[in-house]
Amino acid sequence: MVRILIVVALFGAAGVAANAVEIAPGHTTDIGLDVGYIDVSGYPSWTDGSVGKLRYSDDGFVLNRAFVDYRGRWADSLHAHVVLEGYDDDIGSAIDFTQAYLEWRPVPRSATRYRLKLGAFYPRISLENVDASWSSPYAASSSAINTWIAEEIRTFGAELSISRRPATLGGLHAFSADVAAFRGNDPAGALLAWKGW
Amino acid sequence: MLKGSGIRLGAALLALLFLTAGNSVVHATSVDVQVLGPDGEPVSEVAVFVVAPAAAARMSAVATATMDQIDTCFVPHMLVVQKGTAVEFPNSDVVAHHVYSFSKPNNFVLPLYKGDAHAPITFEHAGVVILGCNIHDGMLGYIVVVDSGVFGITDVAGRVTLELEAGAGDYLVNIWSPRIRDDQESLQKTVSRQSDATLVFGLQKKLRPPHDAQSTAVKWSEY
Repeated sequence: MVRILIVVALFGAAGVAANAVEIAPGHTTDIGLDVGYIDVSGYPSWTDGSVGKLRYSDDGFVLNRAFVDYRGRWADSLHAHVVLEGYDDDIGSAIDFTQAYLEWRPVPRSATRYRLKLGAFYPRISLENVDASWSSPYAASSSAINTWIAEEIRTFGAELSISRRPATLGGLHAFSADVAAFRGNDPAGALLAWKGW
Repeated sequence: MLKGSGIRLGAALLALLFLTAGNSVVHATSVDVQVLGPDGEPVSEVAVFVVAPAAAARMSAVATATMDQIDTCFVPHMLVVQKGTAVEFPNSDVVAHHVYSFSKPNNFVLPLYKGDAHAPITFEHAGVVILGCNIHDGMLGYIVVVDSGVFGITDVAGRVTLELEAGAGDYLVNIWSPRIRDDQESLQKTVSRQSDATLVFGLQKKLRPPHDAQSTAVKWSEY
């Protein structure tokens, strides 16, 4: 069985925040286009109802994804983040917002810090997907666990993050607790039951 | 603006020249300070400063200091300034910073956005000012504001030499570092300024590990 997957990231996808273009003072965008050439053999894709692990069943050039990642400072302590993504795969094509939230970051008055997010966002959970549009700077595609988080754990709601940073007093560690209230989410775990890990 | 700072620098140098000329008449006493950890190893990056009586402290010639932001780090990590010094925060990074300190009564908030002019911060109270950035949570820095013009930071050998005007009376030498866990009272030594002195501060408690910008800058996904 020969399976070749060639992915060419044209630009942006492997960029970091510093590569973002400043469109106005305090407002940046990061534009990414990820195209690839697929030559696949084996079982047809799970998107066709089969047991193949890959996203595509047919050979040829594909648009993996395109995105516009916007970050803006609306006020000193109020930041906005919106990500618009476009897909075209065997499931169909789609353009949609994957993230859109406001974050209030009040200036700390003690070693305890508060952050409040409102909107659609991923939980602050991944050390891997730290690049623009919640993508990984280390790999061409998301890991299994991040794929699951992206599909099922992304919430629409509010998240309060409280962190205590004794590092300011010279310590090594910081402690953080995140509490979120959300709605409109599938029961997390259903996808694992359907597709496996 | 550059021209203005050039003139200021020139004035400062001139003042320094006069000070030096004045000092050539009065003999200065020097105090050699060394800081050693509980294991006997020298401790670098420790602030050493002379405190009361105020008469012992020579006025500092430099009225401004700089705490820069480079690669989302405060540079230097620790800055020692005399009370009343104006500290510039130039922001040499491409990204914006939002510097703050909650260390009362020197607390302040200073947005450092590109293209926006901002005044320096003048610290009017002695004490340690812990710096943070409200955008980059991992950034950490210290400004040690001292009620004295005589101060320094220990080198890799844990040493620093301070010069004082000779005269009657004693003076107090203090040390401070975010790594030191010893009681602050044990970090003060009284020395007569009749003659040169050598002071060794032997720390009793194990030091905290040095600040590692990389480890505290571990970024959770913010995307």
